[in-house]
Amino acid sequence: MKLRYPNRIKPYLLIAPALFLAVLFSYRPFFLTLVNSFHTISLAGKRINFIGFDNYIRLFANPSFQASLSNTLRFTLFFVPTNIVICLSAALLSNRPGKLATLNQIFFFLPMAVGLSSTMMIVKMMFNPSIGIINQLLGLDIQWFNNRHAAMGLLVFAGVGLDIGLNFLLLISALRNVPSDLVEVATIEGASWSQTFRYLQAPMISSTLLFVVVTNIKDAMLISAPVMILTEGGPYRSTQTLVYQMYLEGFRSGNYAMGSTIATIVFALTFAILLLLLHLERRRVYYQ
Amino acid sequence: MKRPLLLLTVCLVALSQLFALPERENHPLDVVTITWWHPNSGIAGKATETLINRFNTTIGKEEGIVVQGVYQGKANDVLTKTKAIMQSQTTTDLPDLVQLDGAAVLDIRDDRRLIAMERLAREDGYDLSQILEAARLSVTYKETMIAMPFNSSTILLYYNKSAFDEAGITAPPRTLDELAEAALKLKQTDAKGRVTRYGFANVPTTYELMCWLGQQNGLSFITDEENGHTGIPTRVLFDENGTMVNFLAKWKALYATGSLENLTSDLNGAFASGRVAMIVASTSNLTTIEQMVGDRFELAVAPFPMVDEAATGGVNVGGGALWALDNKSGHAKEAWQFVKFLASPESQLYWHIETGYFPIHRDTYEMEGFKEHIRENPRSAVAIRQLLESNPRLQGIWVPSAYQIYYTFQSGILKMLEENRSPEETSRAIAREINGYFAEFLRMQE
Repeated sequence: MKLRYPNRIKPYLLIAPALFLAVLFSYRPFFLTLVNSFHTISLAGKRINFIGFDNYIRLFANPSFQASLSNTLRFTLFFVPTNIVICLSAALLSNRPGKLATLNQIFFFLPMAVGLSSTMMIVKMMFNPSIGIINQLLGLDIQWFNNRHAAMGLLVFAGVGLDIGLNFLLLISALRNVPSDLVEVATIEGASWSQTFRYLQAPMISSTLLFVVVTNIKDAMLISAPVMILTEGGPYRSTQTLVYQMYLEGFRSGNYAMGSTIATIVFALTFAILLLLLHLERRRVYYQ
Repeated sequence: MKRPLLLLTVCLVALSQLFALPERENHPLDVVTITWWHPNSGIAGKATETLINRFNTTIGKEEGIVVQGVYQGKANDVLTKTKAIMQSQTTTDLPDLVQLDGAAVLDIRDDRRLIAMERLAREDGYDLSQILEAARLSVTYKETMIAMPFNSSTILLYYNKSAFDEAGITAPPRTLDELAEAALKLKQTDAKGRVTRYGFANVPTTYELMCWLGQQNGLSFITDEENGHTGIPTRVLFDENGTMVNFLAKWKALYATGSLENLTSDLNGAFASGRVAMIVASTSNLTTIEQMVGDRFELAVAPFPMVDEAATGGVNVGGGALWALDNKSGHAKEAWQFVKFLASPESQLYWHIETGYFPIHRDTYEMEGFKEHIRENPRSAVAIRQLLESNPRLQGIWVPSAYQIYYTFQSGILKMLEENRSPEETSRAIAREINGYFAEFLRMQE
């Protein structure tokens, strides 16, 4: 028998495996998390009662959650601009011909090849206030893990260290795609370095830049692994982020309902920020 | 005809070498293997191996039991792995014995796969009063000893004796008032007025407060249900019985001297470098601190300071214990044999000398070897005397959301100091937040 709409079925068949995995590992857990956040859940993970928005109300009244929320937003605010400036400067500086530039590129790219946990352990050692190399070398007496501001600064530093490799790679390839004859013309016409960047390179890499900003915001809102290894949320909860609290509630305290509620809030928050950004994208970003 | 045959034989022999045959150990068929997951590394790890070896070559050999110790990472990792198996319902992967610390109690005390140690002891006719009362009560839930205390420790005051001599202080502080006085004398500043040496460093959290609140008026409970040892706690008591306000008032006075540093991490390092003259830390840190201090100054220890003269309760037993789990192997009796061996006076003496964890068996304290060791190590003697003089009913708290509660104490107390809030207000705020976590946990009960 000949199928009447073979062309309509084929695409679904082709995406079926990917869709199956996505449903199994992304959409189903997402849906369950959402449902769980409206229930009380036992230690064994069973839903007990439907309680509407009670979990959300309790959560927003909890000082620990208020700290997490403010820490996460502050981290995002510090991290995203710092990271963009550093990665973009690195890309601009090494976007030139020559062997030394290649060496620089390798240096900037290398952090990507080191595992997250090992990097964080090394950072933790380096910043140890009594025996760490940073305080010794710079003659500082900063209590990195005891001062709230220092700990947040350290977390931003660690975050940049983790993200620099990939961001650098994306930005430098975008910069390389800016036609070199255009840059040459601009230089011949007497455009200064900053003018070249402002009017030529920046608009040409804007789509990549947007992508980098979007992924950075996502990374910042979801940061947890460096917190787990470096500071464990301390001192005084000053580095306890939303996802870290989700981990604490869900896995340490066995409170799946609260963990699910935090997960839902993080999702909603991140999604809202990204939607706003993508809305801006339609007006500002130039695609070749 | 001969050559191919020979080749074939050679090939077959060679092939068999490719597959490593599982080599069976050479012991009789009825030998029972007991697995023990533990977090002991370094000195404690070596002592653990020695104890296992001693058992396997003596009692184990006679009774046909082989103990296999498996290092599973830090205490937290051991708990994570155990919990993962418990949740996955694959009971047979559980170890026969697992060594966990106080943070794990809430997760496994009601699990049906937990075999209460007291039951195994009873079946064997073992008299539990041989175990030090404070240690026994530290793992007692609803009147039943659910585990065997093993790596037990208490909290201790470490001080810089050289700095004390310099400042003309002759005796270590006994109370928080005396501590504040001493701290002020020990404080040093440079020409610019920056503090170069603090008298004392600490931000009290669960670990310190279990003693500082619990020891008041001889014995005070921190939560209802006797600190969670008779059931799930429903509310804290420190705001009702006034112990928290009493403590916070003393703490605020200490901070007002300007000689207290609000230090939350790397206290050992700050102390060893001479930047802080006194800290409180677990007895299990003794060896580490001794090594870190080296010859830099004379190190001394003293009993944990009392909140006031009426706070005579002393300190509680912290650390870890051995838990027996039912993994359907039916080897609980054999596991108990090993636990009994570990708890024996001789094993406990060896364990104490090697690691500094104090002996949990009463008879160890009467042994010649122990008395000699104490004479040679006056610092251990201080810790032991303090423990024996403490009220055995002063016990650690078994509470849900332990992580959150830890930070509730820490940030609440800092807030009081930095924003100059009253002890009453601080006590209320901390109580409210912790009661919230308790309520949360009660809602999770089916």
